[in-house]
Amino acid sequence: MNATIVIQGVDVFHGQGAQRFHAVKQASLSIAPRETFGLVGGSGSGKSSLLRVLAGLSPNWSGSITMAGEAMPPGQRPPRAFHRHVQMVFQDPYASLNPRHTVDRILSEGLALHGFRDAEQRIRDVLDQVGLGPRFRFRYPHELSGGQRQRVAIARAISLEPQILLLDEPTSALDASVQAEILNLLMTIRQQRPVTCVFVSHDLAVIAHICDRVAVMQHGSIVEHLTADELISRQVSHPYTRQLLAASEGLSGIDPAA
Amino acid sequence: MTDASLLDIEGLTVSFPSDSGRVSVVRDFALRMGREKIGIVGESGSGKSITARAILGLVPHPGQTTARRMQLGNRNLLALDSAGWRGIRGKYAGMIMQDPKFSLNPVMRIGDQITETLRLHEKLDRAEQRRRAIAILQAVGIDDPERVYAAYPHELSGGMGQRAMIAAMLISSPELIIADEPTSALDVLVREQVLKLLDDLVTTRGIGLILISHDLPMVARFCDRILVMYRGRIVETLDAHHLDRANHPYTKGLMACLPQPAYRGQMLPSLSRDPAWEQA
Repeated sequence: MNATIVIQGVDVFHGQGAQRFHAVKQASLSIAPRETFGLVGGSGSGKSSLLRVLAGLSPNWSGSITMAGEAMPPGQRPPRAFHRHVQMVFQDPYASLNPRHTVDRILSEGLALHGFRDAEQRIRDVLDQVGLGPRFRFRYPHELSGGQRQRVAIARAISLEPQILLLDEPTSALDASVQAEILNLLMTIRQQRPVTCVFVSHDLAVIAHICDRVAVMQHGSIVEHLTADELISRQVSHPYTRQLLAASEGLSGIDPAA
Repeated sequence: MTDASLLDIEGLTVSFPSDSGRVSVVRDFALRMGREKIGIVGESGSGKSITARAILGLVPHPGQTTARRMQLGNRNLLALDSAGWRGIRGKYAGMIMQDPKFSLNPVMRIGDQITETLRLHEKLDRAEQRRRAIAILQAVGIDDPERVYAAYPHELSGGMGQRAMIAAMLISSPELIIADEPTSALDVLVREQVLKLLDDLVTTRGIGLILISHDLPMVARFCDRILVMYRGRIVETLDAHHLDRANHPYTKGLMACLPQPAYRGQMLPSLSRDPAWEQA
């Protein structure tokens, strides 16, 4: 089967001219349909920069990217239809929802933009699916907890039935028990919908839990490709990956004895 | 001073007014500690940060702090007015906050922020202040203390900023340091280094440490005893080396919901909360 996301020799830059910063260097990877792919690395490793390019939010890049069969042209904003197929969930649900819009408006905006006729039904369905239910429909973000807000953000993303879901540290601003609920929700969505996910995180335990394969990034380069099994059984070869593993020992659920 | 009585708190309650009467966000908190490392663990809204603020007299208006006993060494914290608190904070007890981007003054050089405590609490000439600041920057593992001394916070990375923050707390040799999520804004690798550093410094200098975090396994590695807070109350006190002996369903739930290889690709157990926990 053809891969859903193919990235070849991608460089990502921030800024122009002498100020230009080379954020991602020659990244190549391919992600199969319905796979969940993890991007791991510390601050400044380029993992979020690469994800923003995939989301069409950052046009300053070169190389070749194919998303869901369509080539993405570098240097320009993708067409509107692109965003129907590629949706993103951001790290901080306190910042990613408009505080002056109700949940209903947050969800209906995307549906209206992409010409969905059955918005009413979809909003009800999607609120049920993320475990919120109709009573949350006319609330404002400040009336919701962090976990509930992240559910709204996920509902907004999946209401458009995207083929690709990009997740930028979707649980790192949340408490452990809420993180578990959101990870469970993402698992359920993955089972019910034919969606390919890219999951960015610095938390190896979370990545090992939810991803099939992982790319480890350092200083803008992909330094190692791993399967989740290799990550759990610590069959890693790059020193940076070893450092990350050592740092997450005890800090999170990866068992050093495993 | 005997070892068991660095900090002695009993019946600490913090309340805020609301439309339906006063709401207590910390209820009947008690802690007796010596020069040891205490962890306070809880989720958002459990009252752990406001407890830390109450211990340093920093509960914002219109919050109200009451306690039956609150002593730091032989000083009665309950009797302090605002001038009295200023004599305690920085000198005997210090606080390290979550994000150095926000807790360091962006328009003041690092050196001036570190020596500020010395200017307030000790009479030293500028050369001596500078010498002490450079020495403490070296002690927190900064290789080029001269540069950092003259730098502004935006010129430092997150890890360096947090080291500078720790330096500013240590310079007056406090008896107690409260660190409120000191590493959650840092990169995973830097997080580890900063925690180790803090651990070494409080151990070698004999400082009491209260480490506040939502991350139970992390706290367990660095502390001796752990208080688990839920909705303003301590629900359980644990020996950090025996997390497996946790009894309270909340503590067990917190540990069970962390992703582990054993549950890979399966649903994680979620925490069902019992209203009775609030009474316990």
